[in-house]
Amino acid sequence: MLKEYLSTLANKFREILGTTEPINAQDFEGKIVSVFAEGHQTGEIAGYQTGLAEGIEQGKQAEYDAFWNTYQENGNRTHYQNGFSGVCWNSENFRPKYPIVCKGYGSANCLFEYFDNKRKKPPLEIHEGDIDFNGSVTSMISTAQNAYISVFEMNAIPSVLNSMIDTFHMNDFGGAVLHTIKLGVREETTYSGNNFKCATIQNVSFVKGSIIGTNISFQYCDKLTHDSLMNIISVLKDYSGTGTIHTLTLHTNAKAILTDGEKAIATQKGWTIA
Amino acid sequence: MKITTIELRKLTATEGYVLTNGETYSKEIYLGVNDSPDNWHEITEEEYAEVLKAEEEQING
Repeated sequence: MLKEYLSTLANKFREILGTTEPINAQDFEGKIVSVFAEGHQTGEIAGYQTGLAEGIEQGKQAEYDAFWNTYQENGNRTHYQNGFSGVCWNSENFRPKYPIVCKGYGSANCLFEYFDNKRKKPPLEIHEGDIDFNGSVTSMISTAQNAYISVFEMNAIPSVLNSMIDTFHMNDFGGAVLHTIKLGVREETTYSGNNFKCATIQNVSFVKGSIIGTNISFQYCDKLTHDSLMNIISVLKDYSGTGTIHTLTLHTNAKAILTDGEKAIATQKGWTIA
Repeated sequence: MKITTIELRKLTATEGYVLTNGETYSKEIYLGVNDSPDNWHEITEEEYAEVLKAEEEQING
């Protein structure tokens, strides 16, 4: 009985220690100590490493939450003038926790002014829906002047037709690598003479329902695609029969892409192509 | 069958000049149906350069 018990103990020691060596009864006490010590050490190390990794992640999350909860007022912030302007903002640290909602006059002024214009990170892409311009944003002056942004899609068509909405100004997309813009614009929207001052813009499209009703210039955009030009022409308001004169200014390259028939679509709507 | 003739009126600036209506400047204009050649006149390229310079100064403050 005792012999069987001692054999069972020895087998258990060999199993735990991973050995097939004989273990004598007089060595049991030492084996108990070594098994405990080894297990303690293994468990302590594993526990420490796991805890450290989890702690680091929790710490990162806590820092993220602390900053963005404050910066975005726990999701209640609606005025983001100069919100992400400056060379230190880039596609790596621009990780808002809450939807960006711009509401009210000037609330999107200089939103991405000089965003990473030192080009330290990949260019930022802003897709439709990333930022809620709430339809009531006005005076978006220099929203992305000299910003390192490749795609900028925005919809500023008001969702509430009766809201008191002023026109908004889109000024100077001097972004160094802006390739694509998608706009939601209203008939009353006005455009400064220097808007879309970006030689890299290739693709221009519009949110369904957009209307260009005031003079607009793409004079600096020498890379607009044919589709983009037709998109622009398609949303020009039809002023035929009104006697009013409106101007669409295009780069020489753009005028060369359009056929006379395509130009005539715009001119017949009352738009002079300059 | 219906045939529609669409007229495309084009103004081209004289060499060394730029067309303007006081707000817009270009060497080549395609007039809208409501626009008229009388609304456009020519300025020299030097005068146009002055206009651009003034605009730039206005922007930069």
